[in-house]
Amino acid sequence: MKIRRIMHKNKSILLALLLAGIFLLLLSGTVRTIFFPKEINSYEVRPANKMMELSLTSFLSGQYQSSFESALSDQIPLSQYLKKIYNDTSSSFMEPGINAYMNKNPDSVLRYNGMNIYRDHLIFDMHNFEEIKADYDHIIQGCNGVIAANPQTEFVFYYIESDYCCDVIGGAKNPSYDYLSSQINVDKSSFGRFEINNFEDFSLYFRKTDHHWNHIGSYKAYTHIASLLGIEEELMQPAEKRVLAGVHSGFKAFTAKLQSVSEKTEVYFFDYPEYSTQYGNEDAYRSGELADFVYAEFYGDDEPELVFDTNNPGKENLLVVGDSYDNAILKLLASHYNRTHAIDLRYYIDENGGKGLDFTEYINKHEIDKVLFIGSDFLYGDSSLIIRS
Amino acid sequence: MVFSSLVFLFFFLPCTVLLYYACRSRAYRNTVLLIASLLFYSWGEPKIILLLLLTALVAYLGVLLAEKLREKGHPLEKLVYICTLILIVSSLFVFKYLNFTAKNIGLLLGRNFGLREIALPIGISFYTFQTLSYVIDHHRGVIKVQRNPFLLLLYIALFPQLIAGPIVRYKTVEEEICSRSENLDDIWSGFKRFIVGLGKKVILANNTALICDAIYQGNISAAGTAGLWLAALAYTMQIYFDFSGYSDMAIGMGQMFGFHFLENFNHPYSALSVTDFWRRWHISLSSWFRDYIYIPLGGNRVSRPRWLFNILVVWLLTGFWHGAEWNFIFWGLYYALLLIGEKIFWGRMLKKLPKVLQWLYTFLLVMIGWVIFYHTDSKELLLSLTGMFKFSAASWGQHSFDGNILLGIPFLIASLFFIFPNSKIKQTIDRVLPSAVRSCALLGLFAICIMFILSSSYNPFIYFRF
Repeated sequence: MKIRRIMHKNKSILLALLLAGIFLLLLSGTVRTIFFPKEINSYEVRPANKMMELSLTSFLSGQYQSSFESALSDQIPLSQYLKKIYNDTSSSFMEPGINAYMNKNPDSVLRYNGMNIYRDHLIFDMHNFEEIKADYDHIIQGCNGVIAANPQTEFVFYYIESDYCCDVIGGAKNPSYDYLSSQINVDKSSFGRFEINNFEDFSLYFRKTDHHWNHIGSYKAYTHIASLLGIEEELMQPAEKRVLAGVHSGFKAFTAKLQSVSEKTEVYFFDYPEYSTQYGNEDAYRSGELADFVYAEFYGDDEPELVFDTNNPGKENLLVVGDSYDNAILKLLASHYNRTHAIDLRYYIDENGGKGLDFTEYINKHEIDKVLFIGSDFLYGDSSLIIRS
Repeated sequence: MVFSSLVFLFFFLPCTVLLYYACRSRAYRNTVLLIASLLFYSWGEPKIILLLLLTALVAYLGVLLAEKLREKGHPLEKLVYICTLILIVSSLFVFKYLNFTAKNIGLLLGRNFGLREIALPIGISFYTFQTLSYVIDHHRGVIKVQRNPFLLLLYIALFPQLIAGPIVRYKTVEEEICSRSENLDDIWSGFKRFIVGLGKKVILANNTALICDAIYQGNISAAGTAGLWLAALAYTMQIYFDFSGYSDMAIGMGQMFGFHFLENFNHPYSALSVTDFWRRWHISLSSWFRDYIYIPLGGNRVSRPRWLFNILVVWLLTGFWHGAEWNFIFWGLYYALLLIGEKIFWGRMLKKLPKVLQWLYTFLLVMIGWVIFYHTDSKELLLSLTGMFKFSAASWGQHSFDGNILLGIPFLIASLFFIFPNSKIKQTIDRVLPSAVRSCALLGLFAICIMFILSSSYNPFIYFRF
């Protein structure tokens, strides 16, 4: 009886300790969120959400509560690990089902987690231009200001059509390009676009699991842009074409939680001239040192500012303003210029204390002869970009 | 704030539990609960909490005044009760039903009253009915007046059942508010029940919802007859596990703080008649309507026409309580007709059928009821119902098919298992597995629930190096 009483008493203590332990463990998530937040969400590859400051206004508007919830989702210990387990498991489960459905219905579209799956391609929904028109106006205003302030400089605009602005299955397009080309104050001959008129175009030029173009698409864009920029010398030709040994699972697969879905990658290798800057790891892929394709790994990462100097003072200087799309063609374009400056405004702004790029100052300082704006709706519809003249 | 949010699980609940049990006295513990409950409500409704406080104040003052008048034998006592009830119900009417009423009167008169859309405060239907039960039960002499306004506010605003029930009668917790006893077994048992409820909600309900949302919010015609029955079945599971899961969490949390609420669900999908179903589904609501509307109207102790009228009134109100849309009224009428039919016409015949047929009859009728409940748009409702009964093949191959349907299927299959009591299986598990193993499994389930909750916050950065 005494032993039973002792055991029963110990059981109560153990239960109390267990419960206290559980609640303290849960509370540690909040402590970490408030006092020791991490900066980067390495799994979702973005800045980690943090709590905003508590104020009466932020509480009454509900913003504080939302920020607390989103901060916890990033800051709770093991949260990224748990998300990964869920995504990998659901992806592994879904893939056979998706494949079975697509095999049985090859002309059907399957929607999953906001992504359309059609003939092995992951496709965004075409978005409504009216929703980003105000963002376009912001960029257009900035560009027109720069153009007006720099009459000696030639400005060229290249628009990349993608599934973001086109219904690549049905064929409809939103009016982004027409609006852009009608509002920017340059001659129509200074405008060019990478056109997608149907799914065949899209599947030929773009990656299956990623929003970027493939080697055929980026090379086509290079030839088209070279013509727009008036490059008369012989264009660079691929030295080698190869299917890489590894696989690639891109951003779209990542977003749709279909990380198990991947694709093989064919690439072009070029014999570039000597540049002042080492960019990308094509040599490592060419030698076989790297096998799994990662767009930024192969072509080069998004950098706030890059300068390729071929030490040819007789040639012009080019400024390329773009995002990750131009990573694939910077070195190709740079082969035709003395210096090629490449700015990614998303990161340039951050490095310069939120001031944004003063184009006139930059153009004058670096003796820029031509400016190329290149991007899709991700660039032209991004109102966070600051374009100062 | 909802129970299945990260803020609740990682901040609110542990803080409240630890602070509560750090206090020794009943007064301090009740204070912690009250502050926590008000914080809980204001988290989602930082401005509208004033309405909750006002409702509680009206009930407190009304009943206190009525008590004083009763002690003096004053004839105005009944009028005070009526005025108090009218004031409490009017807040529900204004916030939930005014827009609907104005819109429909406007349609009848060919006018647009131009009323601004009023946002529905969270939980107003639940706490209003709780408050009404306090006033009515006091009038009936079932409970004593609560002279401490904070304790009455604690009853009305108690966070476990504030926003989604169960509707707790004051008499259920009258004693426990002032003199409950908490013990470790109750806390542990309550926490285990909370975990089970959380699992029902985030694992079963949220994932079966993928199926019905994909079908009902997509191209309904493309689903075909089979697809529409699949959607109906999925919604039938979703609503049960969502609601019963929430009730489990509420009852479990109440238990953690020493309260013992009544059960709200009793395996309703194992019912053998619609009458039986309503004895098992949302028990706190159906019993509320029974005790405060049906019986005062005379119940079934009146003439037949009056009895039928009573049933129609109760079920119209039941439907309307669920939402200010015509489909909810039709849903209430639907059940009124079925219940009348069982009571008068085919109830006895039904009982003579094999149990599997009784079950099938009930389950199919309940599923159809949920289809009416789901669709607030009358065109979509008609499309769904006709599609269910007029055969057509699915044409997803010619349109777009939502892959979430595939993801939801295993959860739908699993949910079919959990709708039944499975008492023999539970007894076997309890007998075979040691309690430590069962507890570990439950904690594992808790971790899985957190994983499911976290997965919905997945938001990768678009520009990253892929």
